[in-house]
Amino acid sequence: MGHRRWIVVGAIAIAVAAAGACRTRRPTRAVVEVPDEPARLPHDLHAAKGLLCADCHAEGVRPGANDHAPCDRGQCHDAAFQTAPGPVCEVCHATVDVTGGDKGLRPYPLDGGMQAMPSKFAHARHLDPVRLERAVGFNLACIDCHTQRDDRDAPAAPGHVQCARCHAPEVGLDDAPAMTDCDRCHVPTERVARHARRLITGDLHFDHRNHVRDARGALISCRDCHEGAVGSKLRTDQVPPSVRDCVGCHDDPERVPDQMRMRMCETCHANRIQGIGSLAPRDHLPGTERPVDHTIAFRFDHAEQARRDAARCGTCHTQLSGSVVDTCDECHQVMRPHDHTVTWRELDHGGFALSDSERCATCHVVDYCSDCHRLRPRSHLGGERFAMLEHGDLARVNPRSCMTCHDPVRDCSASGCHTIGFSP
Amino acid sequence: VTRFALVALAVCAGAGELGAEPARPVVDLTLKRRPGPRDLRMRTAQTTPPEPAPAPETDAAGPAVEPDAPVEGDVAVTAPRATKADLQGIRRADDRLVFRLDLGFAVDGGAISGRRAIAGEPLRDNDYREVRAVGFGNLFAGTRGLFLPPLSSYVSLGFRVAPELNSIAPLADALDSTEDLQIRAGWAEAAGFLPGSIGRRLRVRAGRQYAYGPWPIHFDGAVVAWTGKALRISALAGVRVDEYAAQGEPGSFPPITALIASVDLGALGRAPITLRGTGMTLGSKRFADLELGYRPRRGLVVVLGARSNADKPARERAQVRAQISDVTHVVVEAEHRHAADWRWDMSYVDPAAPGAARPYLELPATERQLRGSIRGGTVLLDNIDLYARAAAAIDLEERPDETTGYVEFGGAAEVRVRRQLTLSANVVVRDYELTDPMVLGTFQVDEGNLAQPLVDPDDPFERSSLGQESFIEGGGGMRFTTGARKFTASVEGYYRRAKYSRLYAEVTTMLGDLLDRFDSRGGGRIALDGWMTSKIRLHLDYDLSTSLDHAPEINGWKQLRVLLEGNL
Repeated sequence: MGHRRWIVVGAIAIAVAAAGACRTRRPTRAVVEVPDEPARLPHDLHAAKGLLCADCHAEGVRPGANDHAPCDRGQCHDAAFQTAPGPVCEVCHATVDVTGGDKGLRPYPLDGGMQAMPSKFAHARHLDPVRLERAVGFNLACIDCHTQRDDRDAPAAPGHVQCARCHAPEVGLDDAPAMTDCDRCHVPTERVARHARRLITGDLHFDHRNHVRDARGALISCRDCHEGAVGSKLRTDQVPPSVRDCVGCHDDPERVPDQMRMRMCETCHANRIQGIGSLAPRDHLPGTERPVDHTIAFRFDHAEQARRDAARCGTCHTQLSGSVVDTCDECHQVMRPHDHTVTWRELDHGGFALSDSERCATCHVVDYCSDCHRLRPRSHLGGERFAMLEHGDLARVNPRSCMTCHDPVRDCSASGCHTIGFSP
Repeated sequence: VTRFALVALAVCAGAGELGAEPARPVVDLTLKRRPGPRDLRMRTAQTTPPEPAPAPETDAAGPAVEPDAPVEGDVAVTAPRATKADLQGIRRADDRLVFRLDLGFAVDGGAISGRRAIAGEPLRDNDYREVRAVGFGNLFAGTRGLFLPPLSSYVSLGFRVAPELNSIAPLADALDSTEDLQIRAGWAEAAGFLPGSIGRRLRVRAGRQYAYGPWPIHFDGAVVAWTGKALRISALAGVRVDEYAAQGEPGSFPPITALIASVDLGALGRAPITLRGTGMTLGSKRFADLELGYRPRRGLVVVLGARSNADKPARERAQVRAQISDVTHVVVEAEHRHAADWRWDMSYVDPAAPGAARPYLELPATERQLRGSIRGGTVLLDNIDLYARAAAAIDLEERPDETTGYVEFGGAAEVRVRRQLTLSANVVVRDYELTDPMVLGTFQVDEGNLAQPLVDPDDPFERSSLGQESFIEGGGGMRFTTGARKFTASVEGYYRRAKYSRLYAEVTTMLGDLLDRFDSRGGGRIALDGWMTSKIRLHLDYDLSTSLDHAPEINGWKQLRVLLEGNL
């Protein structure tokens, strides 16, 4: 019956769909290419020489700031300082010449680069108000550590100065490292990226200074966007803000001016690109929209999600009891599937019911079928004329539809009208 | 002097009372909830840690400390993810009270065309009603720990007002043969009401309800369930519910019992495998179902299952579900049905059994068949929602089943062309593996008004030589929305063409041979959905068809439904 032809067509269609699924989506939380300079200042080599942290990191002074001390010690790099400028100088300086030219420092650590010996830090621990109240007598706020400078678009990452407010030895915290206990924060580990995952990438732009207060003048809390930071327990498990965090405010006319609403691409993107791909992605839509994962496929296969998170379903499907077990019927008994049109009801359901009865049984028990099938259909009007003569015209079109309700032997042959079987 | 002294004493006493420290109310300084970090300036560190704070209180309803709760009086209260207006009308998942009332009416119509029916004369008014109106509604009410913390309840009712019709309705329905008040569910549940670590995990639900074993089970009875870290056991007993039509004698529906147990080895830190077994009885019948789920990695699930009927294998099933991303899913399924499998649900297994719902559904038992399907969907460019499906059924017996083998392909796409405007299209094609009447020699040419021979229902080849050979159905639509809970309007249309097996040929009438084999028709739907307030929704849809090749006596069908939904 030409099945092979259909199989080929289907295979091509599925391959096309699969290829489409594998396409790279527009990165909203991209993994950023992070510059790394592992050989520039290898802490592990210095530690292997027996140097202690304090040998280089004297109190409050950047290593080298005091006329290259302690790098120029005799047992360290003294020889390099006695000769023409070379590789050792380039560890810290961008350019150096013997005439006393530019001695500008190369940025270190690289903003957004890899970090050697990163500190152990848990936002969850430092933002736990009960714990902080118990330990130091007050709670921490974000800006206690992340200070916002007027000339930068993002708050600065905290340094030792901020840590020292609580971790200074004089404070005498019971169960926390003091500033002198370098190795309790900085343990030798793999180099980690300062910001490996970012929301603001590509042509996006964002300025924290513009997000202090909304249009009403109400303060915007840091955790409105950085909810993920509040619960993070490691340096590496922080979840960057998502676009949905932006939508909450940028689709609220009371909080954001019209020219900065979500529909204005230029609010965040450098350019507005015309085309199908530049339409606002689903995660740019407000909370009143259908959830992102409610795709066409979801309409057919949502049992797993509903079983896993029935409470989520209940927030919109208001007929749900709120129970998390055995609740499928609470929707399936009242929500009519999209394909149940008037012609489905009268004509089309039979073939589907035969081939996929499990789908029917999600909502109906078999009694439901016989509730209707025991009624005389409109086509059977005509009394004796229909019964004796003219039903044949209708039966000839699709005899199987007759056999849904009629047994040929019982209803057609026993009366002596029809013979059964085509064999002679 | 005495009077003066008394007055002086009274004044002094009054002054003493005024000067005394008033009785202070007892202030509970226990931290009830965790405030969010605020944008406050840092205070001076203390060198001496304060006394440890008491542990936060908890009660049976859950922890009293709410990490996300905003602090009263805090100027930097956590901003909602959506605006206040957006959140209105969306129920919180932990609401203790659920109440929703739907009221609506529907009008079915099928106007008489005046043309002759295929089998008879034009329709007459006294036989057939062109329009039928019915009022209907739903009531959903539920409580969760409202009066007693462990007690929940839920009622789901459907009701309608339908004047009795003594003629044939324009659209087939069972309004006259089923009950006007239909209790879909009505149960009370107590959970965690017993002391101890084992008792707290016990749940009892009694009343009319659904349970999910080998099939969705609608019954009046009780479920006792125990849910542990890895083990779940539930037992149910009751009586199967009919579909509100009282087709059997009262009390004739057989009792149903079931035991369902599942073990999640992954919860024990072992392999991510779940085992689920169900044993069920319906009257004297026995059913069993065993399912194994394996989750080798996040988003990938492999399910193997088998079920039996009266100790005979009924069906084996394998399914692989892969969730590649939030919006990309692929499901591959295969199943092997045996003759012992049930066609609809377990109540249809034995038509002779008391209470079996079988009247007017003359369908034979199933035959061995292998079925498979693959379906998947994804979203491209964040705006193009695609879905594709392919399915096939292969008969394994010499006797074909009532549902002969087939191959099906389907697909759908939804493209958002503007933020508020979406276009959609879908198509389904199915090709059945019928036995060709010409090859089989069953092709019949009508010779005058003689009664033709009929297919032998016991001859599988004859039986499988009739019915639909193939069909194709396609549609398209447009949707405009200002938000799912604001206003949505949609328009859609569809077309369907079916081809039937040519078992009988009529060459002498004006209907012709072409009509015998093809049926073409279409339809459409217009829907409006708007939230009048945050709690009240108005829904309207108008569904209509074109004229029908096989029902020339009417102009087609129409249905109008208007529904008003109120939420508390």
